[in-house]
Amino acid sequence: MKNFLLLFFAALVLVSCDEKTENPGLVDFSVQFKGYFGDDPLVMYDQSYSYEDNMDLKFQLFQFYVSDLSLLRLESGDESAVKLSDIELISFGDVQSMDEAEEGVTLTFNEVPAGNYAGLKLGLGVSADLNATQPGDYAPPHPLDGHYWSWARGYVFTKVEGNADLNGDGIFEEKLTFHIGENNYFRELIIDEPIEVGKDGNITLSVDLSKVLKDVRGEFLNFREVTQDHTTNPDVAGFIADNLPGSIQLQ
Amino acid sequence: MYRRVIIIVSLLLGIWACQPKAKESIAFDLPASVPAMQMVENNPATRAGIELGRFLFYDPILSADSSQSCASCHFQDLAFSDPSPQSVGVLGLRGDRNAMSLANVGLYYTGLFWDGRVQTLEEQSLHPIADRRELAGDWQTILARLHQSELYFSKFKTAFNIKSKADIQPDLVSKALAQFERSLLSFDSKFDKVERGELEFTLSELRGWTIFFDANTAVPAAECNHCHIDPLFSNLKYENNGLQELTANGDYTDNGLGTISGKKYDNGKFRVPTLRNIALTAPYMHDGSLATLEEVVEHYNSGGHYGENVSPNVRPLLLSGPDKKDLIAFLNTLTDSTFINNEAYSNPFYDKTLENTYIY
Repeated sequence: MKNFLLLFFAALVLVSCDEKTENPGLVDFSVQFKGYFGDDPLVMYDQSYSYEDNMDLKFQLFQFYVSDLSLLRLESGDESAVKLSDIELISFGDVQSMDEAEEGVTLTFNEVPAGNYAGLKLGLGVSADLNATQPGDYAPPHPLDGHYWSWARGYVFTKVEGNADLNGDGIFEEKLTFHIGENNYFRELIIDEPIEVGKDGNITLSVDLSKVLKDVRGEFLNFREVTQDHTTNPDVAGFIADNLPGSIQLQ
Repeated sequence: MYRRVIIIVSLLLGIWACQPKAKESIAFDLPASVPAMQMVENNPATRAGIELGRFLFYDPILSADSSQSCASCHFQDLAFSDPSPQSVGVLGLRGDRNAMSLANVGLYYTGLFWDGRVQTLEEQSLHPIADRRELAGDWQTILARLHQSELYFSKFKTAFNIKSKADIQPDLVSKALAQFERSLLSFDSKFDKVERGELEFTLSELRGWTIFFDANTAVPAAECNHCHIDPLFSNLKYENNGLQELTANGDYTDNGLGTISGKKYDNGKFRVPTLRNIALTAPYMHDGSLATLEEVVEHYNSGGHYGENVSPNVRPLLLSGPDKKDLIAFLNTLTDSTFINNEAYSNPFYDKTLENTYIY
């Protein structure tokens, strides 16, 4: 009888040891990206958007890489950042309805230290060390298993593709393709706003494509003059790269 | 006593080492630039499985009247494509689409067929067997044939450790075919040899390379590389390339991916095919409607038909005659003669001593 009880308690100890111990200091944390064009939800194909100089636009793809997404601790500085991810591809290509626009693109991270943070840091593009790698270095599906320019030995950081109606006839026949890459077009964004990471913690970042195509001074990409760039025109590539950080805000 | 144990252990080790290697799973030898092949968990590739798949691929035993095999529409000397615009099956019925090249098909992890209707080669390989417009086979008949075969019992036994002929079932047939298809790797074209520093492009090929990749503003951009990304020369996505005209009700004669996904803006989209061995795989496009590479280049040069989901990368190119010639010169460098002559991919029933005869 004594042996039986000993065995029973030993088994009980083993069972309880097998259970995963949860650390209350670590939580799941989600970062949602929601696309907009001005005040309107960004929807591929289905929605048209009024643009400068009486042009209307429809989009098929808007995507960009985010490198070294990190939460900044209150004391700030790189040393105290909590890195959530090395690389992510934020693509609105599959957002083809209002419902999907409302859902946005969500990244979920596990075991993030709970607490109050001073802000968020994002690299916009592929960081130089990862940009020196190639798709063959990754097992698909992986953010870096495509969107690669072998001739330039680097990734395409940002893509904007769509069509423009230049004369108001309802035919969107002017094709727009802007592909921006290369290390000198990598940009960094620090969102200096308090973020609380706790139970059910998540944040939403709005991304306004209209702010990528026109800057705060009112300069805009004139699709009557330029309809594509593959990082061959520094003025166009730089304009888009410089505008991207300002298009992202914490909601 | 101790010596006896050593002898027994040595003998056992010797027996283990002498076991045939056919059953050991193998890793495919891919260039460094190619993303790893996604394997199906319960179907690791083995030499025995690939060899069995090769036999099944070339054996008309899988068709209704034993007249056609997979190889009837996928010819090795044409990079496993079909010269017919749409293949004709055993019942004389014509399919809707062109049989595409199987080169590197194991690396396509975003869906198979022109419309992406299946996700794995294991699923894919069963479709043509059952399709009335292709092999029109029924499994009762096919299994009866396979169960009578000593050859296949031996090969299935080696590949999958079956115990009896009755263990030969459709899932094992599909697994073997999938293993063989995964082995069809093509990375030894002139383009690859230039990449490896073994050869150099001619001036025309080099100019064509620059036009293809939009790599220098000094020459026109053909916009090919947006969808036909190397090393696979496909971005593994589905695109509307403006080949079809919109019908009166706003869709297409063949809606492609849209038929599968049910999404309006997927209508008219088809899988971006590889351009590897493109000079061998005429006719072109999902419906085989373009007979030559010249016609293909002309299509893209025109910008294609209008449609709101036509890729913006398909736009009028304004390529001159010499530009088109150089572009095609580059496309010809994607032909891989090692691939089309590889004995490991060839018909195992073909007896080379008897010209034009096949033995079963």
